[in-house]
Amino acid sequence: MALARGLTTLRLLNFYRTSIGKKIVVALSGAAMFLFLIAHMLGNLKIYGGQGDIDSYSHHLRTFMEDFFGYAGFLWIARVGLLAAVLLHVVTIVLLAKQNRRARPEGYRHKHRSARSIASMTMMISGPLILLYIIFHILQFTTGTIQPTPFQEGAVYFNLWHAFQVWWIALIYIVMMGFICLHLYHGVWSMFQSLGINNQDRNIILRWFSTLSAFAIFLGFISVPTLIWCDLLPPPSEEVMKEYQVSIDEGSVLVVKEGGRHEP
Amino acid sequence: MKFTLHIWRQANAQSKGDLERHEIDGISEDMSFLEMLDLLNENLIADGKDAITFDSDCREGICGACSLAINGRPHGPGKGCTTCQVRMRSFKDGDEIWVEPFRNAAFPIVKDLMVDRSSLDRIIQSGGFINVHSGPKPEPNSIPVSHLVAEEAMDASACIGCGACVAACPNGAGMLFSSAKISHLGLLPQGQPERHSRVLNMVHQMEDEGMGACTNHAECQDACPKEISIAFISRMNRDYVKASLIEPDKRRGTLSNQ
Repeated sequence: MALARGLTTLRLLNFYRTSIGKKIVVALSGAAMFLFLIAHMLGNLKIYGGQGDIDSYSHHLRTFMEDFFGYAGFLWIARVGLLAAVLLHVVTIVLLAKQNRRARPEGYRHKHRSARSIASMTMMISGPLILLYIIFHILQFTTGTIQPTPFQEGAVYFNLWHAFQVWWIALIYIVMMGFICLHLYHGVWSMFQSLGINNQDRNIILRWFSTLSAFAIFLGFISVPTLIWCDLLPPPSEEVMKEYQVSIDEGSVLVVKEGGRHEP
Repeated sequence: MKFTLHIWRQANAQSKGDLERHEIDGISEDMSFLEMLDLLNENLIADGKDAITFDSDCREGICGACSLAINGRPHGPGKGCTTCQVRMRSFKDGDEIWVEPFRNAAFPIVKDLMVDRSSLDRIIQSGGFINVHSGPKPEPNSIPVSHLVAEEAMDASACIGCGACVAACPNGAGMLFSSAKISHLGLLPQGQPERHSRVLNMVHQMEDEGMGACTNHAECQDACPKEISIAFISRMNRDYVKASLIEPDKRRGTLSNQ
């Protein structure tokens, strides 16, 4: 049995050793991040339900399946999974990029482009920028290590509203979402092609799916900083905030009362 | 017509090459690109200079011998044609034209514009044989193949092995070539017995040749003189995953239940 397991591991290693195997790893880890982005974007749209809605959603993420995984247990499983996906994606891309550089030691003096899209050509620029942006984003809104604007843990609406009052923070988020949109425009379609799902029948659907999902994610995400910066969302109410602060401090489960108001 | 040419000159694989400027006049617009180079070579020889080395054979777009990146594009301007099929009317009088060899670590330069594309032959060889009936000539319709599948296999087998896909790929990947060779047998019933070992061996050989990885730019499909589709790359990936992870390695033996 140990031998059989050894052989299976060897097969996986041999698979990863080839560029096709690496591309499959990049595609699958990309798919995990893509699904996360959709969920994250939909979660952000909770802001349009009001301050109470998004703050309780954030709290709900921590209490989701609390009975089974404990407080924030589910969230941590998702975080570890996503971190693994990011690491696999980045490490594998670095290995592939090295292989590609070795394959073309001397380039053409006269450069030519026929089929490459701006998105596919800039994957190695948008990728590292997105990584830096994710780190900044986590430090700002998750850990609160960087606090250019007032920050209170758990008070999502308060944090977002204050941060996006500042033009350069709103601009960073909007521009970086542009890079993510660009990355997805090529990445999502590329994922289907690498996984061997694409063919002549499906290409038009997969191409449109990638384009539309990239733009939907872009618009969904930038709507929040844009509307806050344009003063189209009301300032946070301290009353609602205190309510959630207390409930989080006590670690109690939120109860949704009729009419959408929440209380511990 | 009159042209200014910047042509890559390199004595051998080890030496360092560079672009060399040549002026040429009196070119007819009906001349092929290679005939224009022939004329340039005649002028060079008459001047007692070293002629420019380049590959060519059939000069009708079916052998896959001619190469050249013309203005950075393998086989030059125009879709679905090889360098030998490019006519000088594709250029404007007085144009500057850059002529470089196919670039890839797996294509060492022999001299000037001639590269050694044996790596492609080694990929084909690694695919091995197919089991065929070796008795009397079989009845042609004894193995049914549906028309569309036959056409698809024919599209893959249209590959002339020129290496333009490898030269056009910004990553120097050999995916379109390998996938065409893997697919044209993989699609047909005659290719089924060795389908999985073939994709494994050919992909591993392609990697060993030092070619790059695919990032789905689709430059290969655009440069291919036979307009082979990148759908074959997707198909090869599918076959490779199946062959390397899903299909069993060891097919024999009993299974212990403890």
